[in-house]
Amino acid sequence: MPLIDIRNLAVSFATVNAVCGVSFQVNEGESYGIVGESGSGKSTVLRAICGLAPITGGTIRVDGEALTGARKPAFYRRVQMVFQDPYASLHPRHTVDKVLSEPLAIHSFDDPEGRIERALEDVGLGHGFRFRYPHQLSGGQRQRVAIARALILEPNILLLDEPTSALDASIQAEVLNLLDRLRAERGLTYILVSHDLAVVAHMCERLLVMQHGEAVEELTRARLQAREATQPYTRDLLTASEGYRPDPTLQDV
Amino acid sequence: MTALLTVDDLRIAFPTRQGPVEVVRGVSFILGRERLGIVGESGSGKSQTGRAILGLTPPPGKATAKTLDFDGIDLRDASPARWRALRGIRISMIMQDPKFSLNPVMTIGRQLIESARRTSVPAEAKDRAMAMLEAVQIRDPARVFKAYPHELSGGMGQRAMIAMMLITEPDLLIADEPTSALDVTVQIEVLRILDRLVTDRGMGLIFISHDLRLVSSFCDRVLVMYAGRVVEEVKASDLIHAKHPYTQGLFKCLPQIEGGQRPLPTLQRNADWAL
Amino acid sequence: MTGMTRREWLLTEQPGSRRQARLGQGYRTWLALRSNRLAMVGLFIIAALILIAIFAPLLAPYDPLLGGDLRTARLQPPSWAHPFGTDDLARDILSRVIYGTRLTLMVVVLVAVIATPIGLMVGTTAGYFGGWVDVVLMRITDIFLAFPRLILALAFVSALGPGIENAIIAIAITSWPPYARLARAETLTIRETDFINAIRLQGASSARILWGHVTPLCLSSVIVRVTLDMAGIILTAAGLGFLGLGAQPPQPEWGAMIAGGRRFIIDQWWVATMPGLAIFVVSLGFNLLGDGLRDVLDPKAVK
Repeated sequence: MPLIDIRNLAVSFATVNAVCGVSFQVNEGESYGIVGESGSGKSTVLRAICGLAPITGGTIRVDGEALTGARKPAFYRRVQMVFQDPYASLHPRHTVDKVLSEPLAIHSFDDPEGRIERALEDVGLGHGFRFRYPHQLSGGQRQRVAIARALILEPNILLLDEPTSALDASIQAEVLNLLDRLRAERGLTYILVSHDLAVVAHMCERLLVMQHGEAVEELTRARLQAREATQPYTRDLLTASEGYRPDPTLQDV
Repeated sequence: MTALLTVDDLRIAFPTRQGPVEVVRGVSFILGRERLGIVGESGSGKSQTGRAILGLTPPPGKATAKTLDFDGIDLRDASPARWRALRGIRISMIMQDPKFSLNPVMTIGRQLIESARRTSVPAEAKDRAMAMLEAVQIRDPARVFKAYPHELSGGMGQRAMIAMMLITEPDLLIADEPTSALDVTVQIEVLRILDRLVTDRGMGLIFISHDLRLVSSFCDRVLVMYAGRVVEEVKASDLIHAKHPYTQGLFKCLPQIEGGQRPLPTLQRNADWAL
Repeated sequence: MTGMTRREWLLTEQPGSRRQARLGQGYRTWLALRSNRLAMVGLFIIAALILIAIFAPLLAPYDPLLGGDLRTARLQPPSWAHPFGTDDLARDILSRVIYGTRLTLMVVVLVAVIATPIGLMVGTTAGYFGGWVDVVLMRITDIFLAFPRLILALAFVSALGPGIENAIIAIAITSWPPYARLARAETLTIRETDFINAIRLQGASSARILWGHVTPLCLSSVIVRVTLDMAGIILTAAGLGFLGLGAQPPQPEWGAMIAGGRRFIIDQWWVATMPGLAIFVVSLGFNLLGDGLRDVLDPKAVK
């Protein structure tokens, strides 16, 4: 049985259909990618899973249990999310310590001291960062804090919404490696949303291409690497990700 | 190669409580009628370099240079009147986000005409505005002409903004991350427009970006900046074979669709690079 | 802390404890405020106001309520014996102005203590929940906003009876609506941010998000606004006093003192001028401090 089973998902806000009839399954321990451009509805799928966007059609099942209405606290101990912009996802007036101790307090975990120290250690920050404010951290360090915050409740599903698109390439590599290592160590299940095919190809075993709120096609990593896309839109994305190619008509002039 | 812009020993310093901090430390280059890329990570000083050429270093920062010469004009202490005659007419700049560069309460058409009037007779301004919208591949120029900036999508807005910057037919265009807010498929189209302008009209282009892959495929020549300095200058097509360990590291840490090393090689910074 | 000055300890980029982090943050704010000269002038005025209020019995040369000889000491111009002159009941105006700081400070503190929490609570709740909660709370706010402050305060005081306590209640009740509007506007932008989404995804209750995460961010702009409003509050209190609806004679309230002096404004100018100057200086102090605080605390200016 797949861990996450999404069938015919539709999300609409007022008059806009952000997601329309999207279905996919994610197995336990798998890393699943969603690729698309802005407005393709890829982030909305993540938001619908964790309850930040309303499910207006279809079903989302996590571990066989259909998600409806407000999520229970127990849900958030299983599913956590990392946001795109590390500059917007940390409270500007809270120290790292406060950011990490809030979830522990909400769910009354024991030994918060030890857990916070371990969480910082796990994301490669260490004790020296514990009492800093976000403005004293770089973008990459902030994103590490956001990952530590998501993992401190020991979830088994992590939703990653463009976790590296706001970061420099060298920092992106570090954060991707960190996510890779944590998944291997803890057997986490990822759904990673990105506009960057290379990032998804690196991180995910399978991926879904989305456009205008609809699923275009699902590919495995092997088929993506072999450029075996069947849809023209996917091929466009593949071509575009290789960089600039001069207009052939221009070269003749 | 005829030099359009000569920059020698450009330095930009910002005062802080601990004394002045130089964010750009001795950048020198000569630009002809070509596509020059400036790459680097955030904080490398690439954007400040672009702004300084236009005299737009944000206060309290101060830019100094041994030479800052644009087509025989010394830009170092140009008067406000001289800047008015240069900015937006002979030298234009495209910013990352069109939302902040277009006037939200004026239609695209009016903004275009206003720019066009600076270099041509009013009667022709409207025709030129329409022609320019067509030139940047806007499919329905009449609609965009009457639209307000918020009614346009990101790609359209960026194209409208490029039209505005190019309507005066500048000799030099500074593009600071002109496509990073755009989707990849739109990005290629915008680059095509810039490409055509350089090839057909002989404009000089400074293309500032953090995207090595894009710069290496689009530009003729690339300056790699690190900590306010140019660490390497290479032909764009040779960027993959760059010699400096920083440039090599930047390339290696990019994930590949074909798969590659796992974990990704990370950039090991060397304190010597910043010296 | 070996080998570290206190300043280094406060400004370190790697605080070792919660307390050090918080103190360091406070110290940074103080450094920023200190570099604003006008704000420091304002702070000095307000500090002086507080000190004068505390030590009024020591500073005042005469009794503020008991006058001197009505035959010889009435309406004396400023002199060495009476630097601000005397009023029509032969009381020393300097002493009355000094004791008046206590009333002014009481008005300011009580209004701030009553109005700020009401405004914050109404505004953040309305903004965070939206929907009908927002509609109901904001319509109530609008009703209070629709009346001119002094007129509404007049109505309250005439219903409750004149007196400084009722004047304070009246001013507090009429001054919270702008804070509620401000807090609501801030909350509307804050509630959509990712850091609020993140805490929501950790299963935090609405009350926890409101008090622990939203309110602290609204607080600074509301504090700035309250400080800037203090001048207006002092003037309203003085206005009520002037109209005879605030502090009652013989209390040395500045507004009431001006009212008492207006009959002699041509011939004995000092009777009304001295308390007027005091109102002016204190209002200016609050405005300068508020301006400085806005530069330091405004979250939009913090990078």
